[in-house]
Amino acid sequence: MDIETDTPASTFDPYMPPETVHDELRLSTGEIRPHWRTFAKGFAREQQSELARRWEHANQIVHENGITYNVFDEKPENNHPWQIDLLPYLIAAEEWDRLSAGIAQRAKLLSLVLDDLYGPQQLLKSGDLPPEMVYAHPNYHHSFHKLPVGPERRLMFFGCEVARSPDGRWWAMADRAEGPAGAGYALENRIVISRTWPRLIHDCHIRRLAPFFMRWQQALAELSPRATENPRIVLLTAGSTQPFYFEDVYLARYLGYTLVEGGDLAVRDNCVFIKTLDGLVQIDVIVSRVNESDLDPLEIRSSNRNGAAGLLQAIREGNVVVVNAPGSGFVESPAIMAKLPQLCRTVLKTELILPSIATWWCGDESSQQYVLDNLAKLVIKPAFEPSGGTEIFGEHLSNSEQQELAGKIRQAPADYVAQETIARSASPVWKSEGMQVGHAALRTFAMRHANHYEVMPGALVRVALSADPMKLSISAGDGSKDAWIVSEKPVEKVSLLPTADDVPELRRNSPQLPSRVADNLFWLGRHLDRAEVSARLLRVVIDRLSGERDADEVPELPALIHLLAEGGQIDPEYAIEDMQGSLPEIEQRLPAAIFDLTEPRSLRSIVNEIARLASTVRDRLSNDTWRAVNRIDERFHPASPQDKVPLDEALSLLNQLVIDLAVCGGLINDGMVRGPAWRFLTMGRRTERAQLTSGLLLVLLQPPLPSSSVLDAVLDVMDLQMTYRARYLAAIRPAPVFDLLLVDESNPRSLLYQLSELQSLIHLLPADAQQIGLSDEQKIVSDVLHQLQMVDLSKDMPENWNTTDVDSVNKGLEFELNLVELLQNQQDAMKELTAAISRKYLVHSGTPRRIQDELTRP
Amino acid sequence: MNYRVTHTTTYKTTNRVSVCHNAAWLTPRDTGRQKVSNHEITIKPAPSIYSVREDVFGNHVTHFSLNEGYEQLEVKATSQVSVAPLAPMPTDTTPWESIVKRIQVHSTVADLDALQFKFDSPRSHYSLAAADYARETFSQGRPVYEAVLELTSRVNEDFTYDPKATTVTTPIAEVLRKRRGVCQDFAHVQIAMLRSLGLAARYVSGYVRTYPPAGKPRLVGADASHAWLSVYCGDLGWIDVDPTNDKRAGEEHITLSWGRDYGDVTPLKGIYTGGGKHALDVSVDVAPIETDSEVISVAS
Repeated sequence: MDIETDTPASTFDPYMPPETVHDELRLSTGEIRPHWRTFAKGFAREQQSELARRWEHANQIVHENGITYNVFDEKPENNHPWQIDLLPYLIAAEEWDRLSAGIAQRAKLLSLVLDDLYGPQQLLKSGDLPPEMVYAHPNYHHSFHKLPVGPERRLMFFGCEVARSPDGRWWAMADRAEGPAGAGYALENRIVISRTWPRLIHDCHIRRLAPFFMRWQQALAELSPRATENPRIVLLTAGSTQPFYFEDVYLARYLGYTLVEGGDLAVRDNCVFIKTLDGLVQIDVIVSRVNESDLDPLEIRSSNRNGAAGLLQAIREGNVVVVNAPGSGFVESPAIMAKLPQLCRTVLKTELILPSIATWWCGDESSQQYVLDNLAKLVIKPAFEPSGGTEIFGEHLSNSEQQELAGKIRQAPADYVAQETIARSASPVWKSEGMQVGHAALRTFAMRHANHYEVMPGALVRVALSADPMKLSISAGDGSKDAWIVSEKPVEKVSLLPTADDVPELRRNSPQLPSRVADNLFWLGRHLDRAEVSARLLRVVIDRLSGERDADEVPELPALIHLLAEGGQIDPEYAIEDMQGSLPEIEQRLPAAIFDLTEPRSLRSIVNEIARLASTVRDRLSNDTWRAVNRIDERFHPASPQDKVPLDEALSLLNQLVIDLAVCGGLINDGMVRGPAWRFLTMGRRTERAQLTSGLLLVLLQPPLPSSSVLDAVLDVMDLQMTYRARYLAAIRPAPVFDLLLVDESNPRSLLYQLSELQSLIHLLPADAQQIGLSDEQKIVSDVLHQLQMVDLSKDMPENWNTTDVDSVNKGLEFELNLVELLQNQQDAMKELTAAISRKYLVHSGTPRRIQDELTRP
Repeated sequence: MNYRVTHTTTYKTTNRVSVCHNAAWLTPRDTGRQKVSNHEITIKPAPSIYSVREDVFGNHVTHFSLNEGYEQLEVKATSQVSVAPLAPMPTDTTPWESIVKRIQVHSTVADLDALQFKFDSPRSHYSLAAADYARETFSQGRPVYEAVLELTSRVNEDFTYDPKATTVTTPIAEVLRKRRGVCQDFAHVQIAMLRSLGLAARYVSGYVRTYPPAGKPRLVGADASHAWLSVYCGDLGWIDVDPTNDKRAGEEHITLSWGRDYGDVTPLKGIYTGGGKHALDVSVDVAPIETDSEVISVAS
């Protein structure tokens, strides 16, 4: 027992960091550091099994929330969830305040350097900033010169990677200025860990993160060029295939900003707008998370569509503010770290509080010599890429490799920097088998507010169990910790509740829905319903195949296989009776076809598309809905190899999928506010359901006409067995089945139901002010709906299909022809409807093209 | 010499263009030898936004946007410019290495300004082939002016003018290999050669006076925009040379703007949406103004 702390000495066993690194937990005497004591005491009270449970739970939340670097990426290695440690990283408040002063000073200094670089360039003339470092920099763009940015307003948000050397001193390892990533992860870590340690987080008096973000919101609102009470602020993301998309979505939602992509923006008359369902809506401030060289394709050639043509001119005219200011990325290059001490003396007339890790820019002759002499101890990097990309560790190179590198450096010295490697401090990491030594680096953040830089009281802590130098990019997959700034006294309670003065105006409408988002919601709806119907159909087929009857004893099988083939669930050859003999047994082929990713219409492909679409509209889905979608995607994988899935495993996966889809549908139906987002999603579902139902009916109407066993299978597919039995208590007849599927308004799976729902949804879409009478979309739906309502099954449908009576046969044929025509009309109408909606609401512009390339040349 | 230059770009499309954002480097700049007395850019249909700014190299950039929809866009720049003849050049100039040194040290404002044109730019960057080619001329201690003129002659001699050989995006490595291209390619290639030696060179966009065949009248609109380059020669300042015509750019060359390469001073850049199929037509007319006849017309 440690008398001082009431903590059993074994609590952190076998954590024992080497003496060559700074120990965050213990003093050199072996005692636990004072700021750790409250936590250690509480922690020691917990049972091992309870700790294991908490760890599981915390990582489960991380997993469910999809905290990955990349929510949806084809390469699974980019899609790994974050692993969060049970133990936070603790820092005493006084020490944190000293570190914060250093971070704030760097932010201010770099902001001022940028002001000069893209303005008067005094630092180039004085030589404090070597012009070679500027002109050779591939991301120095002269289009960013003289943009109207207020003094010290270039870096509204700043990130700084820091670590501690063995003597306990802090060093800056990298500066982040171009849409710094990581703050959203830090917030999410805090939320997870505070659920894990609800009491301890209170007892330790740790500083809270929320007020920092509230003040940043204020600061951004104050930048608005228009004097309006509610400036419109958007967060510009590079899209769902980019590594930091999760964070973009998370921050946009947390800060209450609309998430937009380049394609959502339009520049008109030097103002920037979002294309929404209601037309163009002007925006005031853009929080950019895209590469600044992609911001304006008119002025900087770019192959991406992440920006908007004319954006820079809109900034120049003062109609929009982009943060961080375009050009900020310049200070991320490690070369500038070599010049920072001198820049600090010239610009701030003082020394750096937080020094950079020792850096040599080979463009300086003396530095070049030092680097060549000490290659084996240093990390060599490209001078102008942000830290975290290419890094060459001299010690890992063979002699000849070192010679080769030295040659490259001599040839183009200005392109290289060298840095010292740093041994990061040690902090305990909880593992069920015992405490491990973790090596930690902190990504810290500062923002500009009320004429100074304020540092976020917390950080994204990355820990590695190896002492090897850590990659500086946060997407290099290490574990993570929450950072706690521990005060001795309770922290002042900042109420997050709005004060009486700023009660928000009540609103019934959500932020603008960008057209692209509406489009993706529509298709998400379509895929959700397609997945459900396909899963049900497959389930019925597998059920029939796995019974005790042989396949040729199941009379409904050909019709069912025909339906599968129509939906792309199996090779169309299976639907042709003569060919079946030459094909592998359907029992073997079918499960493989379900999971076949090379077939875009296979059920697994549809599920993939659901996951992809959901990730692009993630900011519009509730957390529960998002989890439900995640679950659909995650659970629908066979344990057996894809080509050897047994029928019973396929069946149970299908059962599970049907339920998972129903959960998702239920959350959408019960939880989603009936705004434009819900409407587009639901229109997609109704359209798809209508298409599938009429498609199914069209197959049934192909000769020979359906037998009762086929109808029985259809009732299974549509989940209508119970209803049918309750109503008719009799053998299955065509007329009642057609009635249920076609025109029963009370059946939410009937065709009529889909169309009347579509009619009311379309009625609520934003209308064109100039429109007189019904819109195109309304006309299309009303027309089919009317035809369907006029169908009278009791009169037109023959009582007996399989008869030799000429009148009955003729009556049957006539009915059939009419119905087929109606259903085909309906199918065409749905296609027209999709096109009309997309014309009116979804496509605001075509693909931008470039004049320049088409010019004849001088 | 006085000129009236008319540069008309016409852009026809089969469908309506809904929105178009443009930036034009079509305004001639004043230089030591060039004076612009009159300049106007007219755009049809009228743009919704029109503004002029100065870029970082001192060129005038015209920004304009159209968002009312159109099927034909006409951008017409008319300028009245007078260009003074070249001053005689001392034959005995400093060795080229001393210019390289000056740029490296950049202790004067002019040297510092030149420095930025020493570095690679997207369309004109260092290559071993370019450096090797240039070294044949730039022997040790060779006077800079003499060497620059000889390099210009060699490029003119070794490279064939062939509009079909390259496009606007052909990299210079390919131009160097094929030894074919147009004036823009020749300028980029020679710039890369000079930069590979450590000299500063910039791309100049403009026009050149053309002469009709003997006995034929001058054809209006048959001229084209032109490009050459300028080399920093220390105390001699910037020397403009035209590898396409193997001469110094003098009284017959009208300067629009300069930058690191074509990408900085593209006469007309635009991003548009819509339009369907399209056809582009550029016509340039460089008309010498006969001062005599003007005097007569005033007198009568």
